[in-house]
Amino acid sequence: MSESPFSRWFTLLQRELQEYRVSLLWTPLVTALLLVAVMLVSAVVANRIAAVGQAFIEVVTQDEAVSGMNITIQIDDEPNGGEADYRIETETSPVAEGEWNFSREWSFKPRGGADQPPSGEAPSDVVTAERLAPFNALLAVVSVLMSLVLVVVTVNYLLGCLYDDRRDRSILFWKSMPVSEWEVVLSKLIVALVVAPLVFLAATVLIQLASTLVAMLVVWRMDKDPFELVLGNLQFGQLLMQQVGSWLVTALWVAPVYAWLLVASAAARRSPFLAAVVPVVVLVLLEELLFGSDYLRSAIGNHIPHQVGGGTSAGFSLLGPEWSALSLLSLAGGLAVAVALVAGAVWLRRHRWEI
Amino acid sequence: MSQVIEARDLSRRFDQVQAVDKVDLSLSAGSVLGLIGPNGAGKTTLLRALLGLTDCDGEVSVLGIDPRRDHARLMQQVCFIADTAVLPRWMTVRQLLDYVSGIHPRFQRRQAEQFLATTEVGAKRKVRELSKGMTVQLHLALVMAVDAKVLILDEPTLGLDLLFRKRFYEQLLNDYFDDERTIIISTHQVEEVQHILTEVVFMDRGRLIMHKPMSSFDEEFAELHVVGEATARAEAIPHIGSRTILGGKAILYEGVDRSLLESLGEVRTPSVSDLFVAKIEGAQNHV
Repeated sequence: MSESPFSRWFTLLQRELQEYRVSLLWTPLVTALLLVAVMLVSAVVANRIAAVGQAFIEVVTQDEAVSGMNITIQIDDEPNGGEADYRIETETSPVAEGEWNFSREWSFKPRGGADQPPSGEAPSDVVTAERLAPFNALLAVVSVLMSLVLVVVTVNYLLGCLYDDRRDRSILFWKSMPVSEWEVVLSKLIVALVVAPLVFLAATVLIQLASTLVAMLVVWRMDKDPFELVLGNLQFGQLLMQQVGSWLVTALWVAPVYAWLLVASAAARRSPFLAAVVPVVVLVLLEELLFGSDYLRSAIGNHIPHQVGGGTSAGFSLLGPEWSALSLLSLAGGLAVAVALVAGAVWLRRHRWEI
Repeated sequence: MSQVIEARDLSRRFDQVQAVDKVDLSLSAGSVLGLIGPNGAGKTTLLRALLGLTDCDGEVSVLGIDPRRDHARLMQQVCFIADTAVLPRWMTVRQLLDYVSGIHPRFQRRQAEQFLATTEVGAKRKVRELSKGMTVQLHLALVMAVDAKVLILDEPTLGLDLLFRKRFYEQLLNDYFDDERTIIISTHQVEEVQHILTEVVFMDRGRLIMHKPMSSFDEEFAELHVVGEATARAEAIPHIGSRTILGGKAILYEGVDRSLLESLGEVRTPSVSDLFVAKIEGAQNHV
């Protein structure tokens, strides 16, 4: 009955969350709960799993692994799962780095003594730091996992969303509703760029809150004051703002890739995945064979969600050095391509929907 | 009266097949049109062209809107059930109602719920759990709760049992149809719809081979049942078809005065399906 654009779009997005409830809602929630459970267990038996934790780091994140062993400040880049969330999916640099740094706060009263065994009066703090190393490594793994899950879920969603309804013929029902294909395609893109990251961000915040509690528990068990050491050093609001901000930037960067996945989904007759991958691989190979260049590959590489290397070499951030003229050009070009691809997906939905 | 549907020179070609071949069709408000044809006659393609679901050549206008250009706006006024079982199987009935009421400005949710209350379709059920008949009832409930001007049904009762089919058309006629609305039904099961039709279109191999109001059947067509020696004389009169019946023949005439036939045997108005068979066979013999 309602004709307001708000309720209209609400209905469209709600429909997406209903159809992909398992991947968009349950997956992040369950992943978050599992990770929290792992953290709790590891905090309780921190010492015992230290060795495992170290091995884990080396496999998953090499930078962290190195620093983890050295117990430097770097090691603690990612105590907050949410940061990783945007780092991966949004390929953003660790903006929040140092904002919320467990081991730094916990380990050393005198700051800066991170790498060196602090002389004299703080042997117990060194012990604390060493015991926390696996904990931090776990947090890093947590963030990587969450972002990986988000990327997998989103790609899977995009490849399926304009294909499944054509395969089971329910597109004939959707097309009997007064909704234009522009609205349909845009609602899918909004889910991928805004709604799904928001859900994962919420799940990440859940992990962050839980890990804060775990950290306080650990500190408390070490007879320190958890409120002063942990809560006193948290800047949660700022952290959240940075997460949201870098996720927005990321959305702009990955938009063309996501739009391409929509085109593949709308065009595919058998396998949306192959429809997405094969043409790109062929074009890249053709370019390299015929012209010996790799413009296409690097242009695509800019926009693909990828794990950004640790430390300062991180991809791009709001204010980072990566925002050179070239990146801006790449960003603008990517957005133009995204618009064209969305239009292409709409055209396919209108004229080539029959499988 | 202004025409609800106007199509001129409508054609649609797939790779090897001329699915719709220069069709002219015009329909006024308050009609119930039966679109009848064998498999592959192009019925579905024609209906899709009217709905803007497929590209086509020629002119089409439905309620003054070009369906190819303004499909979404047209769907506010036009409902269609394309085939059975196109409702999204993952949805629950309640989610479906939520969706349609959020999207469709002319949908009366209460009306749909009242209709569903008379069926066994519960709000919490998933579409995939419903039987085929219940799915069609659910779809009908959605469609009937939309205040639309045109309703297009493409084989709406395919695969349903007799009771469901009968009930479907009863509900359609009693609870939905009025003088303002226009309904197009494509079907194989002619006998079940012929009493609700006001017009009939026969279609074969992409072309319309007949379009007549039901009310003209009495005047234009006659079926003569003859036995014995009268058969030869009856067959001498130009006819469009004949078939063997118990002890004699049933012969179909078009445009022959009934008084001429009554001396030969029993004259009645042919059923739509008998006429259909005669017309289709006639058309195919001419090619």
